[in-house]
Amino acid sequence: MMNRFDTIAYNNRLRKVPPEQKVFFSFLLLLIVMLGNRDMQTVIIIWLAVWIVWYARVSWQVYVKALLLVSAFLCVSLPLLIVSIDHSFHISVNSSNISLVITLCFRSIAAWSCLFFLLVTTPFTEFLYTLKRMKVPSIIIELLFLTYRFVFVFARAADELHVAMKARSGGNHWRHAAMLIFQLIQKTWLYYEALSFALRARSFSGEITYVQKEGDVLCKRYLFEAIIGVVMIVLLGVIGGELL
Amino acid sequence: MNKWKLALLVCCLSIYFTFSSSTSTFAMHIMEGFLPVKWVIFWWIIFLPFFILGLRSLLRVTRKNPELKLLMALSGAFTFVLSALKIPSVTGSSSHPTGVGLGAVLFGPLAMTVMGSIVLLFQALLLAHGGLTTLGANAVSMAVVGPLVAYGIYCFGMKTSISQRLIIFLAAFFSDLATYVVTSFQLALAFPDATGGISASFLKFVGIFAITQIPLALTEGLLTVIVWNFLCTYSRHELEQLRKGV
Repeated sequence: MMNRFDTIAYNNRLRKVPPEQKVFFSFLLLLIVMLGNRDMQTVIIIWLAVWIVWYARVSWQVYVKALLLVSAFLCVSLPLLIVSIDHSFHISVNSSNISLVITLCFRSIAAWSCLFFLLVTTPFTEFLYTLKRMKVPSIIIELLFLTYRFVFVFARAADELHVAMKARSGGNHWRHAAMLIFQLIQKTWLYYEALSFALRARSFSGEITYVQKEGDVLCKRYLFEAIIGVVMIVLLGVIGGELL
Repeated sequence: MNKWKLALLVCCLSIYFTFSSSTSTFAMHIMEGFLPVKWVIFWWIIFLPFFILGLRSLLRVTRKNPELKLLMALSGAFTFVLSALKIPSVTGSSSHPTGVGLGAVLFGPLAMTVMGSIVLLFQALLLAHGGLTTLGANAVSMAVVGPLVAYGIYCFGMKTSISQRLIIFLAAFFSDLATYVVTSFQLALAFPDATGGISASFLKFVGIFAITQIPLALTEGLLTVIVWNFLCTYSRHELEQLRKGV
């Protein structure tokens, strides 16, 4: 799952659009979703689906699968909000809560769409670059960058360990899981030592810099649509009357 | 009840439990957009001081010893991989240990606050679990309260004569439990019950989550003890290095 999303983030049609624009766009939409009413949220869900599937050319199967997973989770957690139990353990269905639940459904899926848009169109390193331009403290960015670097190495190591264990007919016993975790810790430690040697050999002074390629061209067509769209959605909210 | 109805019921129930158990750790992460704006802001405000404190302690440590940055990133990645991978576990299902208990005992609660939040951010941006608006609330439960409870129990236990393994088990178990109780409390505050208010709503969430979270916490406790055993047997040197480092 993680690998697939990351691959998509590097190979989509919106990859060349400057990351600041994508980050700003999705954060702005997220803000509108949190403050706006249901009409605005519905429009945003549909509009972002168009961005993700059509403009970014993310396979619709991936999108639908991810959406279904989120909806399944929502469906599991929503009944809890409708049913209410009082002190004498009478279970009752609260009809006044149904509208709340529907509001919640729309808001969650719309907010998730914003997050998913960011996830599949912007590679993590470019997101970090945007954070850097937003003057986020460098230690956070360094930690995020290093963690990102390690995550895939370990995911692979863990995979290999798992395959190796299965190949030796390791079972499903929880003791095996603990063994796996311990071996991962050991591999991690070896990797850490190797990396720290390598960094020391290159006279590591505590700061890690990395190169960000410049020269993404501003794509006027998408910028134009984004601005017009956001203005229309805000207008829809103002005309609809109930912002907040 | 005839056979088909029974089969249908069993089918529905098993689907419900499969989904609710496979999403059980996501249940510990409140999903994007689930909380109303005022609670989003509230939990972010609670979370930020802890984060800044953790960051300051981290800065102090890494200024003295820049290599520790690597180690922190490593532990973050490790926690993330644990939470993202399906690990063979009890009852044939797959559960995702949070690793917060072990991390807090190894690295201390403040450092774990920062790393826990970073792991949450990764889960949001690489897997679309949890979210950016609910990051504050999730971080308070998983990265602030969980490590604090684990570390508190560990410190208190080390002063008594209880065996170390039992202490580690209790630390991991209660940090998991604390995380889920705080999450239930957050949900109850945001969605109070129409008849019984916040307390009824809290009991409702705690009761429902207990079905999946108590076995999960037990599993995590046992796993942590076994990992700790391995660490003590084979990696005593590294453990001592860690103690000196952080």
